Amino acid sequence: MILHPGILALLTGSVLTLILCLYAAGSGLYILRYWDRNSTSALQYRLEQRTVLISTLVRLALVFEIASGLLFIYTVDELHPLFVGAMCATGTLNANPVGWNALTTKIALFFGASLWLVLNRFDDRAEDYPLVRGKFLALPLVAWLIGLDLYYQVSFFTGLKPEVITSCCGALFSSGGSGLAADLAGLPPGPTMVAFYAGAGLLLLALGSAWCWPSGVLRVILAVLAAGFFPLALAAIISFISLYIYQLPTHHCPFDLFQNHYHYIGYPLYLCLFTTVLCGLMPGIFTPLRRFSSLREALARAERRWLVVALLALLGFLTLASLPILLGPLSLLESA
Amino acid sequence: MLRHLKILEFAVAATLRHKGRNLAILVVYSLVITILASVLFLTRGLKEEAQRVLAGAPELTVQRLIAGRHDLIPTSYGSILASVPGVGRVTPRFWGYYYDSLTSCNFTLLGLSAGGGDHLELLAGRLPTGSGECALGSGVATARRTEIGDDLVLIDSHNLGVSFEVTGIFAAEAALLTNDLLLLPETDLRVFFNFPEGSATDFEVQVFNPQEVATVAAKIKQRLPDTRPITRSEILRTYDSVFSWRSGILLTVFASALLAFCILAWDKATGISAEEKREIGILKAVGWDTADVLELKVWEGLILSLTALLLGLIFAWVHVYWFDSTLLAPVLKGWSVLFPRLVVTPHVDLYQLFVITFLTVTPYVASTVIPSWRAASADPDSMMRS
Amino acid sequence: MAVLIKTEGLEKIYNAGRPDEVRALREVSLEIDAGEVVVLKGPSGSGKSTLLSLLGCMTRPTSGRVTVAGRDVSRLPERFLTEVRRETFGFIFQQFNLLRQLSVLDNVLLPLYPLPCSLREMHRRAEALLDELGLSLRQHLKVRYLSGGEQQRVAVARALVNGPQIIIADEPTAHLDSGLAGELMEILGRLNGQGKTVVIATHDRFVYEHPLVGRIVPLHDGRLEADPP
Repeated sequence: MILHPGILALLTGSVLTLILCLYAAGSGLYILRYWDRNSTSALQYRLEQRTVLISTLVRLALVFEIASGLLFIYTVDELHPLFVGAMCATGTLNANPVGWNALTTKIALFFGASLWLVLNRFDDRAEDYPLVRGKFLALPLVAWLIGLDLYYQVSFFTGLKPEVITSCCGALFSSGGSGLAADLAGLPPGPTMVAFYAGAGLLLLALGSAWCWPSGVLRVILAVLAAGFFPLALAAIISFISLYIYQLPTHHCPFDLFQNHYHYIGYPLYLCLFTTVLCGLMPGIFTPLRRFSSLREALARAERRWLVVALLALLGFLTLASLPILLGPLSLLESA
Repeated sequence: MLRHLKILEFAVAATLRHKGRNLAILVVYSLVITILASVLFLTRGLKEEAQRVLAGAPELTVQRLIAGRHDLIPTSYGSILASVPGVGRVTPRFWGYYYDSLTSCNFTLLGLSAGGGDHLELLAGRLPTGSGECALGSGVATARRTEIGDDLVLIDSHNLGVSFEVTGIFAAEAALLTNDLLLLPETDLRVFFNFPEGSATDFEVQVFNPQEVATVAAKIKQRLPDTRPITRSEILRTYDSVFSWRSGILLTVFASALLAFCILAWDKATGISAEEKREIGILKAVGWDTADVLELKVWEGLILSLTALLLGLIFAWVHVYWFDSTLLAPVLKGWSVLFPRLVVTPHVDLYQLFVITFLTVTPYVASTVIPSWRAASADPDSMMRS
Repeated sequence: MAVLIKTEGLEKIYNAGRPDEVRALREVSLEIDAGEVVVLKGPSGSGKSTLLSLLGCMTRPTSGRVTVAGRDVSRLPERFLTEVRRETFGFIFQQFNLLRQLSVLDNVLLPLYPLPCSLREMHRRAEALLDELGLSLRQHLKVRYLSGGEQQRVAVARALVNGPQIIIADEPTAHLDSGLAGELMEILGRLNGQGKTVVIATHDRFVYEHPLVGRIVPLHDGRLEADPP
């Protein structure tokens, strides 16, 4: 394995996070075993105290996973000189394709842990702990995702062989190549733009409708649209957004956006995207909580906040994606 | 948000109040971070120096291998190399290693062809122009206590002493390239090492299009199967890999120090004093809940971590960039006895700072969060019953 | 007068099921009206402090019910119990329980950190109280340099800074001479005059025979000695 400091930092952090989350998951199951909301025994009091620890541990795990996602991208980018043919993070990831699984797991973990923390917050705000069962049964899933993330990272880094010839984003993300990335890069810009903006428009419509009407069905539709918007936006980034940002019709890499020569545009762009998707998912996912009377008021307040944040984030994402298209000299549509 | 900021303000005051208690942890923590950061700063500096230095190296170096070992290469191969499409200038090089028993050092002897040596700058004096002259790296000059105008005697392959007049000494700024270098006229070197007629040490090959280097190397290998073409990017990759590997080894070794520190942190966090227990009990009694007290403890831990991080980074900076990594350089630089004084360029790299933060703050927070929660779970009722 | 605090069949058992089990309270039913000054009287070990803890939302009963301002707090999670406690109650402890390494002002500020008020507002409230209690010139002094009487007033200021409806005092005169005890009762009288309810646990005759006290609730061995009037 390449003994790179960034790799050591990632693996150390992941191991520690896994240990803490396994402890949290184990504690959660212990709590479920002995939990009795109507009891006023010392044990019940201790179990309630323990829920504070568990939410702190998962919160720390989430903060770490978000930071480690960025560190992961930067580390694989740092490693690219070791691989012949690699010019950026994409090249390193392709040197051992397990890396893509690690990245996907980190994304899944971000959403999973965020949703768990929101669920936990609702439970904390209610006097009768209505969600105890659900949240502690879901916690092992979060721990499992962290374990999977660690497994993929270890497989990825131990499987990296610096002398391996790899293909980089030029070959990977080019319409002449093969595989999902090449397919995405090969999507014709015109229809892809139409699909992207149509998807964004539908999402905006769903956000507006959910704001105006408290219907649970509308919220579920919003959640489905938000979930669908995520892969659509990623495809759009690879297919044409990155091209306009790089002002280069052949440069499809979704990671170079984080570099300083592109003014770190990747950070606000992906932040807006992830925020849009997360806040768009939550009203629909948490609609079933309406059946708990102790949560109705808190849920209604939170929903309004999510809808506003989702709307602002979506507008931010669309602005950042569209400005280079509108203002830059490159035009893909004429040449398409 | 306001509540968090207020608790942070209280945490800062609490950390300052418990100076004595926190000082021991701070000292050890800062020391661990200093070592880790020094390793990373030095490695980065070495990698960058290697890149800078190798920027002047040829795109391709062609060596001959016999039975897997490096051997002298026939100069007749030069015309075959020149015939490969994409190849520009092909220059045979004559060089070798010399063990100086007087100083127990290894020198590199390089033959200078007539009119050559343009790429070697920073020279005091002049390059050797005639037989019996030489130019030295500053490390050689220091080891043999030789100045310009002095004679340097080396033992040749016939075990006879050969005297060379020193005409120039490479300045210290070029030390990484020239520290152990002795430049002789090519003919003198061939005689000194008793080079067989028609052979050289290797070839320096210029490739017009940098994108084509790998292709040219493959063609050379095809036409001359007993050769090993080495590209500049391969050398850079190898150095990168080696330095990363070495720093990784050091970091892995120091992981034990970090682990020991985390055990100390855990132990300290677990065994809170009666005074601290009382303090937490009072906070709980006057209206702080467990989450508030836990947040206070987490903030205290973060304040300590970030202070130690800052101190560690500053000390590492001073150690590496002011004191030339006195403690660490011998491990990372390599096997050569003649160490040049490596002056590493100061450089702030956010990625490195991120890595150091990850390697040091995360374990500390992880090892103190559960003991902090235990402390924060104190029963406020106990204040009434005490 | 409205009933402010009500207990029904209150029981508290420490270390339940273990060899060192202690039944601190047994079947205690009690009502305290708004604006009353009530003394819980009894010898050491009678359960006064435990009853005060339960009335003041410091802990939860093993069985029975506690209602504060109409809200059942018996089974509230710690977070909500603490919220009720910090918004409704001010505590004066037997040993004052001040943080000796902190200044007078910093001690008084402690209850305000979890509350939604700015640092400026916190300081304004604390300084106003210290001024009222004659401690403004000592506010930056460390508590360990204060006399007993001054520490007592700091404890009172801390108990009042969050604007509580109910003052709970556990053996407040235990470490005071008669002069300071009299001063304390005067302060409590002033607070009662402002409409605050005061509940004092004590076995000090000076306190329970003081004219300020409206009602005495005698406790013995964890039970009320007689039904409260």
